[in-house]
Amino acid sequence: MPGPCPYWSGPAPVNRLSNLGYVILRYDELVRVRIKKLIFVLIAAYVLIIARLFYIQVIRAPFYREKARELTVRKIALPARRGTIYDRDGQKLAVTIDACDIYVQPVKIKDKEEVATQLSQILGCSRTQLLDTLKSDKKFTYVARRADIWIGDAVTRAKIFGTGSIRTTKRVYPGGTLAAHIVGFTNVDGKGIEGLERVYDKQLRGTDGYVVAEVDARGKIIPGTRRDRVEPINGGDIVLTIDSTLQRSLEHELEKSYKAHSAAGATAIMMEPKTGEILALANMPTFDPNNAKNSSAASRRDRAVTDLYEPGSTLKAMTVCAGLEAKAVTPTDIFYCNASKGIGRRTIRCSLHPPFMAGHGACNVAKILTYSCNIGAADIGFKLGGERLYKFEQAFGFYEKPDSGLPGEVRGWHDNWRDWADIRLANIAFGQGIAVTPMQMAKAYSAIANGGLIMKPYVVKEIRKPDGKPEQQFMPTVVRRVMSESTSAMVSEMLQGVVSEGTGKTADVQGYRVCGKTGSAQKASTTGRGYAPGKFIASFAGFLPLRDPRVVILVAVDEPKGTHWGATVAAPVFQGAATRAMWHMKVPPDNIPEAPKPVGGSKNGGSDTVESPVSRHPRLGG
Amino acid sequence: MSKKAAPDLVLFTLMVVLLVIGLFLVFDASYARAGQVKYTHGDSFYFMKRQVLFAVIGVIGMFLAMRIRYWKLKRLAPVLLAGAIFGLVLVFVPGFGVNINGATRWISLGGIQLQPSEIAKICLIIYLASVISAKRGEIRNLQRGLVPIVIPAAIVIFLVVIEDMGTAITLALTTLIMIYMAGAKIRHLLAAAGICLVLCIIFVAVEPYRIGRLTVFLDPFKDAQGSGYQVCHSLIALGSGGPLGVGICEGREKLFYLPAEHTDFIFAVLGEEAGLIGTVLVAALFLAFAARGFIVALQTKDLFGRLMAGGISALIGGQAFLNMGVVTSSLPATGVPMPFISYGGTSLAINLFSVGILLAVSKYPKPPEDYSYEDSIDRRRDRRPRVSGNMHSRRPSSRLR
Repeated sequence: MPGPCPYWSGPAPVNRLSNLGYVILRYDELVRVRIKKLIFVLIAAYVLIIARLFYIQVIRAPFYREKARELTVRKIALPARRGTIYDRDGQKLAVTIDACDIYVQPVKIKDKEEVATQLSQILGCSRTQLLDTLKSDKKFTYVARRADIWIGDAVTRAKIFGTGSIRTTKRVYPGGTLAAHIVGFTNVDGKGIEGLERVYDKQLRGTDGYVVAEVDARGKIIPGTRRDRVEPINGGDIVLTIDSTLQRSLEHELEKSYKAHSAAGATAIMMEPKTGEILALANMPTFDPNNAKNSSAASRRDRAVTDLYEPGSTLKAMTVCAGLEAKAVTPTDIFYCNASKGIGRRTIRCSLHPPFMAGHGACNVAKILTYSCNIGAADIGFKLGGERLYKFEQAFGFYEKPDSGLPGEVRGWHDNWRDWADIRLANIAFGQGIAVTPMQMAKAYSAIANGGLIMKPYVVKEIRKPDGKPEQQFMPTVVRRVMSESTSAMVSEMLQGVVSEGTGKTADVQGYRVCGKTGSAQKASTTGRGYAPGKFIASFAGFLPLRDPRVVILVAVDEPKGTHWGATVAAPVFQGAATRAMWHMKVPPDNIPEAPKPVGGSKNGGSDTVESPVSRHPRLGG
Repeated sequence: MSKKAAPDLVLFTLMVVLLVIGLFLVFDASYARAGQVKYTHGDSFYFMKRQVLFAVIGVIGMFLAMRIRYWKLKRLAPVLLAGAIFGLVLVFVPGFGVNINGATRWISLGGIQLQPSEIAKICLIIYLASVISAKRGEIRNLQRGLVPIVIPAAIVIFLVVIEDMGTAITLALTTLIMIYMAGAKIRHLLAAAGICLVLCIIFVAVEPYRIGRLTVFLDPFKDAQGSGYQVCHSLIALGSGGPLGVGICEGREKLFYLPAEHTDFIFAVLGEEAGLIGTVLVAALFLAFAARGFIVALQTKDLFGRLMAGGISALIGGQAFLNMGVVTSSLPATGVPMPFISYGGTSLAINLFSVGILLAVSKYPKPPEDYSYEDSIDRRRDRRPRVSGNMHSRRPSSRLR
């Protein structure tokens, strides 16, 4: 046993011989010395670490603080809610609802098979497709966008690592195809792409707000770290002049005709002539804005304002207006039609129907309209002359954009009257060789219905602030006077004759005196010269009731198969929609037939009163 | 006769302070993740509860270890070493080995997951202390002393390397310190360190991408999104804490920015929230603990106890140093947990148990001279009654019967 430890008491009893190292030192003391050296090494090592900590946490602290700030402080957008689009009665045509995006982070997911199984059950989508997504080496990708909230909640509840849902909003069109071309649609990010969604994107969108706060690595705001917050200003609402009920019935009627005649397209516009408010506007084919990306471009086109067509006989009403207003013709002037007339080297013809198989014979102005006499209309044109006809067509608004507020409007196609040869003048007088849009045509007819005053058509009645207060209201605007009230009244009477006894009988609405004009226009050939054989645009334009017109309706059906007459293809659409409009608008009837005399017993009289006006009229051919 | 003293209260107090700081920090650093991760069932206290459980087990283990008359461990040393090797091998046996986050370093025993590499630490220290104290000065002889001592240690370290690089480095460092402490020749030590270095070079040469891993600490922001990510965030956490810290529980980096925030990088969370004050305090506590452990080693008269105390001090002081080195980006990144503080049940329990042994050494500064294995056999052959007062007084009734 060694004595008292020399390092603790007294001088060391050891002779250290430098050349022999520790040999003489006893082993235990060697260990003690080494432990002491270790203590010094230990202290030195810790001093180094503390120095390093001092360097990082004091000298370099500003640098790392800045790094941390870059990392955590974020400006997070607070999206504004897009405004609602209402119809005139407050029915919602476009609304914004809560939705969620489902995302996955494929690089973080280990058991991809299992996750694919679980997710496909929640999302109700194909598992193999999900698996393909999960097997990619993306850091972040969406597997579902704008999904229902409950799906997002289910994903959140499932707590699958590497998956999650983000709250967002979604644009929904509760009416489906209802007024699709007017309302338009937004893209997935809520930006207006078509229709009024595009025109009023700024007003509907509102202003996004933001919050500046610190976030954790998963992007969540750390409570209590908010530095700045600007509240979003929600988008305003838009109230349309569209009446959902009328819109629906117009679409329904138009679709019936469009399908029955396997047409290439169809358009119908219902306007209030006194104000220029568009009550309904339908196009076929149509699309569902809820699923706009799967629709064809053709079905998304708002044909009512973007497509030009040669109006055909419906334009005769304008020619007659011009002739009467300019006093070029009087209602009693007689024109003679023997089915064909040579003009220069060309010949113009009338369509021949019983009982006029050899031409319409002697016609006054009213009869020209009633039986749609081309030669008579051409003669009015000749009496009027190119310049005056041109000026009137300009006054009717065919050479300017109708300015209805719908996007994509075009102006009519025409050339200068000085270039018109006689054949052109004759053609234009009965509606060929000039191209207009359906909206322009409806506008022109509303001028006749409105005592000669042409109104600016419009679809947006009011823009509201998010709190519901009006921001901007649109009022009826007179564009100009086209003709005198007496001329319009005269032409209206003539147009009433078209429906009561002429080509437009199929447009008659029981109880009302209906004015209108059929049209069966040839389509210009796509090759550039002449007309395409067998291709027509069947149209009908009219208004009712005669004395106090409440609606103007224009129907145009493109390339109907089988029959091409305006009376068989377009007039029934007018008749159906106008009947609904009269009922819906509670317009008092102005043409109540006299009470049937009880000659044939009660059976006859009874059947008369219950008969539906829709099914009353026999369909006439032509 | 063994002289019995009070266990070293300074050591005990330092350990308690570190343990309390550690338990709090585990909660502080982990509650965000625990509230989000699926397997915790959204329980923010999940990691803290488990850590407290293992702390309780560890403290019980510590008090039991304090009661051991530590020299008896000398006889157990070969058994412990064999057990450690057995446990390490068991990790590779299918059915026992558990893979967590891509690393297979746990075994599952009846629902409890243990980390054999952590257990191997204390076993290796006890083994080294016992075998060196048996050979004494012979350690200065390469063939008879050093090599036979080091080979079993090398086997253990090799097994640990496969499972857990960080622990293996800790063990290698501890072994080197213990051999140094035991008086091995400096040139032998340099040779051993050289061999380690060569092995490291081979290790890197096999997979060239490891060079990047090893050198990333020199400039972590060069690849802040890739291999430097963890260290970058560690530095940002420490640096943004500044001298005074952002405030306890106010840390941002633990909110999923900093990986391993409640295990290997918990010190960075402390640095962010408590600043330089906190980090220096904890570093000083570890320094004081290790230094005090070495002083206990100095005060002990018995070589086995001295080596064991020195080894345990070196283990804890060295491991904390390695951890801080990695967190401050002063050393290449290796997964070394911080003793007493990082989350990890086995590690905590074993560390506390080791402190128990250290305290036991401090309790018996002068153990009986004749406790060696051979002596006890002689004693039994003589049928001399056992003279240990403790033993006698504890079971007087059985003696009388």
